[in-house]
Amino acid sequence: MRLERKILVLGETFQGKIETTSFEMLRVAQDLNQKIGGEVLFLLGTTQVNTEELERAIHYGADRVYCVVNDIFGMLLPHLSAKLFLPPIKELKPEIILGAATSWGRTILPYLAAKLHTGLTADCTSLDIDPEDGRLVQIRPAIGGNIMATIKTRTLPQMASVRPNLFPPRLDTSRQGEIKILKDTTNYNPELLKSEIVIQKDQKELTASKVVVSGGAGIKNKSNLELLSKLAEKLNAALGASRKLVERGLANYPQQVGLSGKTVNPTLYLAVGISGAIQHLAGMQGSQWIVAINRDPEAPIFQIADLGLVGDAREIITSILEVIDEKTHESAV
Amino acid sequence: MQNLDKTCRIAVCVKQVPEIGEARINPETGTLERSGVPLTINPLDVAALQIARLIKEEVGGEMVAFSMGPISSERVLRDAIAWGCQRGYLISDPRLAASDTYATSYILSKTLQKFGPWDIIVFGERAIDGDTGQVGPEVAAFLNLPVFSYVTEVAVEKETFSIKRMIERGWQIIKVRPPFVLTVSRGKSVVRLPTLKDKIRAHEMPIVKLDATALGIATSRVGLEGSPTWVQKVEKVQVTRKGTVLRDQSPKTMALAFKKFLEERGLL
Ligand SMILES: Cc1cc2nc3c(=O)[nH]c(=O)nc-3n(C[C@H](O)[C@H](O)[C@H](O)COP(=O)(O)OP(=O)(O)OC[C@H]3O[C@@H](n4cnc5c(N)ncnc54)[C@H](O)[C@@H]3O)c2cc1C
Repeated sequence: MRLERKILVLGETFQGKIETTSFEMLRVAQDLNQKIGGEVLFLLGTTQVNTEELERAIHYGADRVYCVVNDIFGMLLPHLSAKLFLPPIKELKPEIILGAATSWGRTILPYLAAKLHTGLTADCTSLDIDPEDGRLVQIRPAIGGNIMATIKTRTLPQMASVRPNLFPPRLDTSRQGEIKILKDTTNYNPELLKSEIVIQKDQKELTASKVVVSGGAGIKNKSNLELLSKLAEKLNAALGASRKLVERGLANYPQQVGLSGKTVNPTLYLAVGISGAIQHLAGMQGSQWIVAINRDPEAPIFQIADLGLVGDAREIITSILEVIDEKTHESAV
Repeated sequence: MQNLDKTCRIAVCVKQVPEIGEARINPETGTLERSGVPLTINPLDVAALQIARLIKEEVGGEMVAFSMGPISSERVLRDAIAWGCQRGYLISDPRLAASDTYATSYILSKTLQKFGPWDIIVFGERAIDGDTGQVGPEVAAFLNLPVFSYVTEVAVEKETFSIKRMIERGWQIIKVRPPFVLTVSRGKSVVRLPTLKDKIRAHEMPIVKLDATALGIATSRVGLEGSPTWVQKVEKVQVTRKGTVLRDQSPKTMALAFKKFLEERGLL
């Protein structure tokens, strides 16, 4: 008899909704499961059961959904959520645990890994099963994106966080699965006085956007930045920045792309007035398409651009805005 | 915290890292080759030290630095002292080399426990070499403490701390009492450079060295052998794309080329 092999995806919820990144993880789990023929489990925590939402997890690839219910999940506090996830994880004994490399995932996964006395590989960009030993093969960028490391884990469960935006979720509404509600009414939070979430509405989230338009030191002033924002809006893009733009106070730190900022993997990355220092590349070189605008033809950014436009940023953006508007007129007719 | 009006004990963990871009990999072990590479304090650890110092100045108390690494890491402990720590402890032992995040966190938690208890333990959000961001949360788990990651600001109000952390959609503000662990991201706070006096003090301060034996750590649990994960292989990333570069053309021509690029890929 073959042992049942389980891959558990740790689901992330925000205000009662399952995050898209969790569906991405379900797809990764399914791809792996095809090689080991086991089961894909989805474990999530919510304050209130929403069956429709739980069924979505099945449609996106879960065979079984385990939902822990407790008020604590509304607070977005990984260490407290971890306490509620530990008992079901210990009972389910998954061979592999996956979670998204989000601010939440990158906090709760290491917390759980230490509690489970096992290894964890951060920010994987690809996962596989070794056909020889059946172990999880974890591939991740390291040393500022200069190398790719292949990592394996001796202990069980084998745990990995996976970068968002790399694996588009796969929806199949005909899928069937099982849902189990696990209530836990323990009050875990005597030490906590308050948790408040401030949503930044005017800013599209960098790591969740299909298109990212980033500005660098070549965006010299507010008026150039306004043009760039206009372009971002037209392209339905998030606005990113190089560290220099942040340092100059023209952008906020959460917008910084790069080694000490965020890693993005959008379909299109448009770098405007960015030289392409290795620390910046570390955060965006995984983008599917890269377009660069820079007046210096020797700028290193052109080496990794699919399309490079040499010239003044302001002039080129102004033209792009005009040209794109033309299209809008045509299609409106 | 037991009583804030007395002393707040703050531990800050710092790491020595190679200047990025200069890093080399040992092809056999897949770990960082340190010899001949310029080394520096992990940039986000400086942010951690800044926040720790602000807290110390606000509530009083002591601030102690810990680092695990080769003997050369003594330098980053001196940096930490110059940035406001009163003492520095260096965990250095060849038997601990090549520990992964689990083993490293285990060693650090054992050390912190030995010199604790702490009200606040502060880490940089991640080190620019390993780049995992896992050590802070793992230490918190080993010590059974709450952890708040991606912290950019901390304000003290009486006995409670107001912690501001980044999340994908904006910010989260948490009010909590110590003890807790923080992992700090680069915030808005202005970096205050050490004065000459700070630097002299740091230079003269003895650094306490600790090895596995002193810490009572079973070496089977740490180092390359004791780490649950291992690097099987590493490959250099070659980033070159055969792109088209347009130059000496009118902005309009380039704008049209960009539009075509978008249309061909279904992005418009
Ligand atoms: C430890 C460490 C971590 C770091 N982390 C990050 C990070 O996370 N993210 C990051 O971005 N950087 C990071 N850096 C900094 C990085 O090394 C570079 O300094 C930075 O990326 C440069 O930003 P930039 O390209 O905007 O500016 P510059 O290098 O100054 O380049 C500006 C570019 O704009 C072009 N330009 C100027 N005027 C115009 C114009 N009118 N039209 C068109 N083009 C124009 C110029 O030709 C030039 O190529 C880090 C550095 C260190 C040491």
